[in-house]
Amino acid sequence: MRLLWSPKLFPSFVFILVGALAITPVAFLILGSLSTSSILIDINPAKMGLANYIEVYSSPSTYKVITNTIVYVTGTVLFSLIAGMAFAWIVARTDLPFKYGIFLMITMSIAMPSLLQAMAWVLLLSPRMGYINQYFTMWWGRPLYNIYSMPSMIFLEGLRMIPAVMLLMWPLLRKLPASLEETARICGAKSHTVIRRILLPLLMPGLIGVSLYIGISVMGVFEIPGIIGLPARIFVFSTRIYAEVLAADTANYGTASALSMVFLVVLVVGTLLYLRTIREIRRFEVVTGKGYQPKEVKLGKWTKRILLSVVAFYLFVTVIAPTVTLLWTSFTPYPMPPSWDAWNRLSLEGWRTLAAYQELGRTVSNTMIVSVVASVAVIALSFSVAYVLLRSTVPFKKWLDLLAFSPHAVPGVIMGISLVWVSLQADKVLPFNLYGTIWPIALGFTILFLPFGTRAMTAGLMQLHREMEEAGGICGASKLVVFCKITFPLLVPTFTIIFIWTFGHVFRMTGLPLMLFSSEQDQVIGVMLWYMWDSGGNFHAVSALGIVLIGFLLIMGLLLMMLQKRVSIAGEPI
Amino acid sequence: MLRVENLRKIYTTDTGAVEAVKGVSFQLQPGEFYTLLGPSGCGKTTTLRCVAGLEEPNGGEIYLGDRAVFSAAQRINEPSHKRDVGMVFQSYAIWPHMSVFDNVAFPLTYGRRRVSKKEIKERVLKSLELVQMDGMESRPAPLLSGGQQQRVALARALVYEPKMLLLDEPLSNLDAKLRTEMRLELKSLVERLGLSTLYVTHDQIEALSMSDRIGVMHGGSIIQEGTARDIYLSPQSQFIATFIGSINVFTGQVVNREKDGDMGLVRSGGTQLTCSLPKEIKVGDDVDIGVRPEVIEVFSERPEAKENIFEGIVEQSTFIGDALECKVRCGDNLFQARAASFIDLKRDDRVFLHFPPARCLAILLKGEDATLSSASSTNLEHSAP
Repeated sequence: MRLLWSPKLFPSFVFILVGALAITPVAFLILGSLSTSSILIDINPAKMGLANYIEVYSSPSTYKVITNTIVYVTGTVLFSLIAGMAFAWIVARTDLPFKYGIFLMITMSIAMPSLLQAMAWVLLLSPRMGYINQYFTMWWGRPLYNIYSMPSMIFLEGLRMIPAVMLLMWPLLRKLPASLEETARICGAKSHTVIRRILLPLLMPGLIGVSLYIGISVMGVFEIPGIIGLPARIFVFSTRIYAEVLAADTANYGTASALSMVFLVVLVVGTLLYLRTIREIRRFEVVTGKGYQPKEVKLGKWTKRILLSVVAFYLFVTVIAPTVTLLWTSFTPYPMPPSWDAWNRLSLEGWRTLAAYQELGRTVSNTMIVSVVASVAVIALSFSVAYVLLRSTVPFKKWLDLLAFSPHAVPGVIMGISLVWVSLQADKVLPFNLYGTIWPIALGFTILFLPFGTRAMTAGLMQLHREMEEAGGICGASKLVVFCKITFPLLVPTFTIIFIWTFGHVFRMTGLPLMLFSSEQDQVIGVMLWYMWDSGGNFHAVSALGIVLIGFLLIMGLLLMMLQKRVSIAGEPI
Repeated sequence: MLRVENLRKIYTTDTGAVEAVKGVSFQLQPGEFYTLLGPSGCGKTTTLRCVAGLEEPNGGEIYLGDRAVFSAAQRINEPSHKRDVGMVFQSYAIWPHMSVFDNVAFPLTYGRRRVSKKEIKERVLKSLELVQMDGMESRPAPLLSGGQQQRVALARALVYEPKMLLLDEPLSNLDAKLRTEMRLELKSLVERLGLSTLYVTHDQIEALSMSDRIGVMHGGSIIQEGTARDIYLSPQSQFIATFIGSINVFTGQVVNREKDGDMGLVRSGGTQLTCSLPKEIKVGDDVDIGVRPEVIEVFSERPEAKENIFEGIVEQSTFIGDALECKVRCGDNLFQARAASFIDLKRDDRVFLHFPPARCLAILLKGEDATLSSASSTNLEHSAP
């Protein structure tokens, strides 16, 4: 006999767990921002006040950071939106040769870590040391370009976001009925009228959604502003937090948390707007109906050549140049531009130096453990969430969906700071130490990737007809057997995609683990790269480590590509 | 075999609670083929899923044999894997990562009645033979056609010899020709096995041709239960009359009826019609009169019969092979009639319609049904000269 209320037990458990994961860090961040305790990272109910807020928001430098961030985010969104739209349009609606190969290569460029891209371009274009600038100084008397500037940050970050824009816009452009354009044209409208009156209004919800998505992502990134902005003291939000905590004489977590608040509010509002727009787009999709082949625009010979060069330039700037630069640098004794003299001085010293790093083994194994644990946890959690969302009838489904998506609003840096608060308060009551271990990092990444996991898992589970599982029950198999023999095998592709995507991203991210960094005990590769670079010495060893990482991530990317051909993850933003 | 009593199921949606099944009761005798027939959203699939244990009802009782598998009063709700029923789903739910053999062997390998490897093989092959899929056992499931998937699903439901079989619109995903074939095959198979079967469909032909008994569902309740003949020839409400088959319906009032016989006179609009009246209908009652298109006789000259003759003009005639479907306007009324296909009628031809009195069926209007029918049916206008 079974009690009638038991079907609600599991959903309630999932709801509470996801709620705790999504809310706890932010709650502690708020408490931390109010803490006026003189002990570092201490939350004491008796010592609460607005002192941190007053300090942060009365300082003019805060407003400079806000302005910089607005410029940085707006610039990046505009640049990546225009370029990404163009790429999406080329692939969806033109007869450009090799367009599917181009599509795959642009998508694959996501595998390239932005930290390494930024480092490589510093090696090429830093005013004194940059290879290109060294040539120009030699021949022309002065350097070509100074990379340490806001436009460079926007350019590189914009390039990073192009694949995402392309992947998001491509399905929308494909679904746009060609007949609408044709009808308008038959009615006598000119091309630009068609674009202005028909295409733009139809694409508007999509464009707004993508802009919000990219804006939310860019606001929290650390890598490119860290490598390119910090040396020139161009602070955006994430690097300001870093400076406040890790680069300051006394780490000030209170003011960093107070500073985070304004951005968190903006991000939450942005995320809610984004969810609204997505609903709007879904409604629109229902109307347009199904399968048809969009008409391809015939391109002229020269247009084709120009477009192909643009694509080649993109791949050169994002993947080829950085990889070649790092490869070259890894064999040089110190950064020097290619020349006959340099060629003769190439050696394996960089690789030997890297191998001699004492903490290397520890760091690699830390990174592995964090990545695997976070990926598996994301899969387990997102499967539970998706299962409740699609297979149960509990009334709080809408809230669970919102909670599981809410970490999307939290950048890695803020998650890092929040978890510093959480783990240090937890250490007061726990019999073991959390802070200084890799577990807060794994927890942080689990929360950060939960929104992606849930979306992908929901899409995967949606394709698995519920009758597949019900048939197992009818045949007399228990719930556990049904899961092991039917649900799990059929979802393996989805699980694998979520695993590889999460693993590949966690493996290289810098912002979150940097905030939680205390010693080599909890160091991961992203942090190690950062500090090796920051110490300014062993550029050849950093490059060597970078090359290993690029190789590893490219393999992961190829694996994902091969799998994705078989399974679609429903064009969901990732 | 199966007894369902006062079953209730309420869904909560964003807009509030929806009562999908409102106190449904019915019984299946051993070996009986019982069909729940109704339009989409009438609660028939929900009822079936409650019997299967895939939905938890909000009230009522379900007995399989003597055993209560669900009872709100006794707080019993056996999960589906313990109920020992076989089921074929609308989507067939053939597992794509397994071969045909593994699909059919699943209940014997992982179900409640596990048997030895040798016996599994024996029984799976026998079951596949039963559905004429022998020789296909090593085929991967994704390579099967719709009809083959359906057969495998049936083999999988039969292989463990369940107490009863549940079929959820199993033919609706097949093309028309295959559907007709499978209808007969399915019926003779369950008859041969003597298996009690609960069948759910919205297709009247399936229901009429396969069932021992039919329960017609509408708005979450069974509104009429009976044999195919009962349901088609003596529908008890206008809804059933119009849902099953096509029918011409108009409203009227009984003005006279034979003392002992079944015939009576009904006035509708400006004319009178001789109809067959069920026992409970008295003089003065408001009734619906239903006439099926195929019983209306079409003449190009005035026939000899005295009663129920209407003169009209052909508005549309469609040759469909075995019949000629035509719409005839008689004054303000538009009648559908099915004439024999050798009759040649064209638009604007003048014709005479004869409604045989024994085939004009009067249905008593009651309560909710009365408001429903007055909105959709017309008064018969006087159109005979």
